[in-house]
Amino acid sequence: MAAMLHLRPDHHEPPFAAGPIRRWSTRSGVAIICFLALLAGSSASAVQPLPRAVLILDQFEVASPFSAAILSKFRSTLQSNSVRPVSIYIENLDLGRFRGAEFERVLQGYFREKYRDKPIGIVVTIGSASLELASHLHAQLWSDVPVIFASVDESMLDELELPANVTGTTVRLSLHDAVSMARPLVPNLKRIAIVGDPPERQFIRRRVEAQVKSLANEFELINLTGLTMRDLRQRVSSLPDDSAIIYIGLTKDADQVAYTSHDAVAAVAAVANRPIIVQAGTHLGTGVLGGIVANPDSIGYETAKLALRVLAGESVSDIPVMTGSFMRPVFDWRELQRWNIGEAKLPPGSEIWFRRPAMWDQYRAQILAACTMFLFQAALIGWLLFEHRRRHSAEIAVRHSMSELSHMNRLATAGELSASIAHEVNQPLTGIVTRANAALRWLGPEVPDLDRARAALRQIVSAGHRASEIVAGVRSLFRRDANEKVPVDINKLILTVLRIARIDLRKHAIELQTQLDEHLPAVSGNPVQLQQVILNLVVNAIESMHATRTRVLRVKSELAGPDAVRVSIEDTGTGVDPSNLRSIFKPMFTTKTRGMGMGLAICCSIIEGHNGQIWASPGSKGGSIFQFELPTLGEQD
Amino acid sequence: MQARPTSAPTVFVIDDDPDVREGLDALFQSMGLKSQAFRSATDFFQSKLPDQVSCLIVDVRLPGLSGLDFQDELAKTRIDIPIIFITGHGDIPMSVKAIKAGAVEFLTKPLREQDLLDAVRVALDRDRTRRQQEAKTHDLRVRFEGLSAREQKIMSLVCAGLMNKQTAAEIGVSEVTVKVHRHNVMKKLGAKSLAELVRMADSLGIPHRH
Repeated sequence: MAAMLHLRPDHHEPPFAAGPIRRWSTRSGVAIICFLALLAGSSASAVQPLPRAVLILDQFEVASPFSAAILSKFRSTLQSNSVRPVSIYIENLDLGRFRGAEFERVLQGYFREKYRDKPIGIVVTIGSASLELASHLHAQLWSDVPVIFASVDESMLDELELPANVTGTTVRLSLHDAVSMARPLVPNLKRIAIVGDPPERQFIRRRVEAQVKSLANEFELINLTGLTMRDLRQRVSSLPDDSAIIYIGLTKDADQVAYTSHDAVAAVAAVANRPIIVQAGTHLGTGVLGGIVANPDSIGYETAKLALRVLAGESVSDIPVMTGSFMRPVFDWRELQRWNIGEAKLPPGSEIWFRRPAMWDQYRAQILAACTMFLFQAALIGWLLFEHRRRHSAEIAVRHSMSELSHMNRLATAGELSASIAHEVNQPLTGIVTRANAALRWLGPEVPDLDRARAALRQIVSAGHRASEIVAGVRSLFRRDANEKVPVDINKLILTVLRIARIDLRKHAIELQTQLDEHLPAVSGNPVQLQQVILNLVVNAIESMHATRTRVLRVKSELAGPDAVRVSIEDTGTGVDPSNLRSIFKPMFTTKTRGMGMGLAICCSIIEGHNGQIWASPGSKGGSIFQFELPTLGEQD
Repeated sequence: MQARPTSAPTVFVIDDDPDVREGLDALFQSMGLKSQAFRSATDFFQSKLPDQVSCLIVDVRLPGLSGLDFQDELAKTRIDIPIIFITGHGDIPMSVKAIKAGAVEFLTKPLREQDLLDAVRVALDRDRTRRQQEAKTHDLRVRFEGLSAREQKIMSLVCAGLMNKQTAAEIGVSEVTVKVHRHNVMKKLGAKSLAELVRMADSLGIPHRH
């Protein structure tokens, strides 16, 4: 308490006011030593468990991303590693802009009232100015509370002999390090532009002026400190090519406008024509190149670890100050591209942030999905093509076997009609033979009658032609079809079929009634196949009338609409069971005791092959009507 | 075969095929036979048939009425005319049936001339014989009906094999009277012997009585 009072006179002078940096640091050093000595003295009384509350004195303003990152990591680490909850109080003091003995006095009263009923277990300070303030307030407010500091410039420790009640983490903010890192990255680096608050207002870095001076031995320095933001932005936009910018933190410009260090560097980077080297990790992403930067996450983490150890009862005096590991080289990938800096030139272990992910990294899922889709589609198409091919060959096979069956069917029908066919062929032959005999007689020995002989021979010629027509007709019924389509006169086909079937009709005493429209247009079709259809239907009709008394076969051809021809074959036979009217056209359906049941299936297949249709219905006087329609020639082409 | 011009034998042809009809027509003309062709059995029945030696050539399968049915039909109407069947495609059962029903021949088309001529000759001969037989019987019947009732009675008894004496006893006359009647009967009928008289009685269908 006495030591504290002893210190007070020093604090009447504004310790952060503009002035020689050397004096400021010396004075602060003395104050801290005394403060630490005091803390060491009172540590003996800390025997009870510490209250589980941490007060953080942050020298930055609330909006500072750097301290926010430290605090965030500190809190999360502390809470997630502590069995019992820990209260965390945070005071963002904005010491860069608010300082002085009067301010401290106000703060002291404020804190006293604020934390009267809130015992504090650990005081954590962030930044060297904050550690300094703590040393002033500590004795009066939280005299025997251990102190853990964070984000204090390493060079400051050189001047300190830490008492047992204090420990913490330091950072190394060396301009020399920054420049030697920058040298291989910027070709012909001769000039260094320094941007930030003037050295006398640098409250994190110690000995900035000395560092700047030592730089001046190697480089031409461009001092851009203490300018208005407007001038500054103008200057940084027109720097020479052999220069680089080192940013050391700007919180207030010559117009006394306050900035956060983060916003200031962003404003500068937006217009700068040379790469900017920074020392805080949180500045990455504002358009700066990067550099060896302090990592707020690891500072927050390590500081929290220290706090946990202390809360767990470990004596602060046993914990040495932690140095080093918070600085690491980090670069903005986009800036590396902008300044054409190869990654090989970067210091070993460099991290590269904001790498624009390659297409593969960015859209891996989509690319994979697209490729999968593509492959799937390709496979599907391949499979479909394969199926199509298979189907095609199957169709050919079916067509072939259908044609075989159809041929067999014709041969079978030929067998059934063989008597009729023989009769039909023998008729003209009989005429020929008898006439020839007659002719021979007229030419006989006694008195040849040449006129009569000639007449007989003439008749023989025409009968011979008729015979050949009949043979051709029979042949056309039963030959293997050539599967060609030609214009067909359907009436002619009907008559050819009826001529062959005539004998059967007569044999079974069936009356034939024909009603053929003579003005029917031609249809496009295969005459052999269509004849077969008619023949099958006629033969079926004849067979259906074996058991009936009335036997009439009615064959009719007519125009069905503007572009179709219809053929109807009606019998007075036993008829078709109405429930079978559809299935009779299916293969293997038969009501006969012999036969394969292929006849109507073949008819159906042939008619459908001609784009026509075939159907059956009950006849008007019992029996049934089989009808088919075929498109006329005009429509098909 | 060479008949008198006034009674030249006629061949009737029934076939629905014009080639067959005309061919046969030509052939028979060249042979000096008269021929007449019909499209169908109906046509044949409707036409007036000349009363002369003739035969029929019929296709087994005819429109309207089949050849065999036609045969039955002919028999029913007591037209006894020899039939030769022709066919484009015949089978054995059909031909057997036809021959049994009295057909002269069963020929398949195309017809062999010799077969046809043989068949036609046989058919015409048969018809001629039949006609002569018919004419003879007719003549005899006329004469038989010219006999008195007693003469007819005596003829019947004699042909039944009775002796004159028995016949006389049967009808209650003298044996001499029977002899006179019997002589008269044989004279009127033109029978030269008892055997001939018995044949005549047979062909006239006179019942033999014991």
